[in-house]
Amino acid sequence: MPEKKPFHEKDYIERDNGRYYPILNIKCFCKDSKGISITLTGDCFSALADTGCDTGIALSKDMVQGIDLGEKKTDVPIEIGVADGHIIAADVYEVTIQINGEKRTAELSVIDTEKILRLESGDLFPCIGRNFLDNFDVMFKGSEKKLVLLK
Amino acid sequence: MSKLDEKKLVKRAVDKKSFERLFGEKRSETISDSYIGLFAAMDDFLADAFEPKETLEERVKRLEKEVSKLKEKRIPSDKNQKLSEIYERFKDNLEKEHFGKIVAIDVESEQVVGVGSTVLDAYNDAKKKSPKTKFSYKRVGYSYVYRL
Repeated sequence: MPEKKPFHEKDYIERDNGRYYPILNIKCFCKDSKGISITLTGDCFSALADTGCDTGIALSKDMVQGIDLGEKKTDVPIEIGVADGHIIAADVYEVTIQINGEKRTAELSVIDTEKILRLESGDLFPCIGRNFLDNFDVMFKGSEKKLVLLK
Repeated sequence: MSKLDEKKLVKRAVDKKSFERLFGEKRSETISDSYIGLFAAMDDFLADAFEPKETLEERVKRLEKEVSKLKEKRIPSDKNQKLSEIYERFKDNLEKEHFGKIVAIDVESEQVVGVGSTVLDAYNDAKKKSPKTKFSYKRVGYSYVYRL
């Protein structure tokens, strides 16, 4: 079996008074309804690599306000269970995600923040879940506070 | 607040010496009078701060509106209800064969049309069998499709 080589290393980022998080800078493309490929929120945006979350990439509706994401795959919004017990709703789109030049197809879950009863939309940080991370070998070097993606 | 009111309030709130220092007025007020004044001023301040700006009737109406809005949010749409009914119909077989997988359901034809590990997988599977471009999804054996 050929040995896998790391293609991207990222130090954990300190947030919330001394707590470190594996946050990646990602570029997200989608095809609008005319089939034109567009970047989602400007050039790059940050998202938390979260193995406890099994969406592809999840972000709130207000982050993609006014962007033509193309055709959604959901007739009825899917239900997403939040750790605190709430069930929230999201529509799913197909997008391409790029990390350090590597591109993969992923699911984009656009969460309707109006249907979250307790959280405010600003409290919702985008995260990359298992559905996307499972495309790679992912190493969380906790003691070095570093995340390594291998292919 | 007018200057006269302000003067009255200070007069009630501070002791005699301080008041004289501030406004140059000599009065024969004891310390206990000053404290009584201070408490009265606090009482007035709290009464002003917590005085309801709407009547009880208005408040009840406003709260009833808020509750009905929240109820609307929680009541599932017709499609959602239909989706749950269709899933319940196929539930036993699905749980035997595809536990933990995501199924794509065509609500109009009331059929399970695709199975996969992700919504996109189920969608692509469903596209092979159905000309439709949108489906509804359920994770077999779970009350939600994904965890966040």
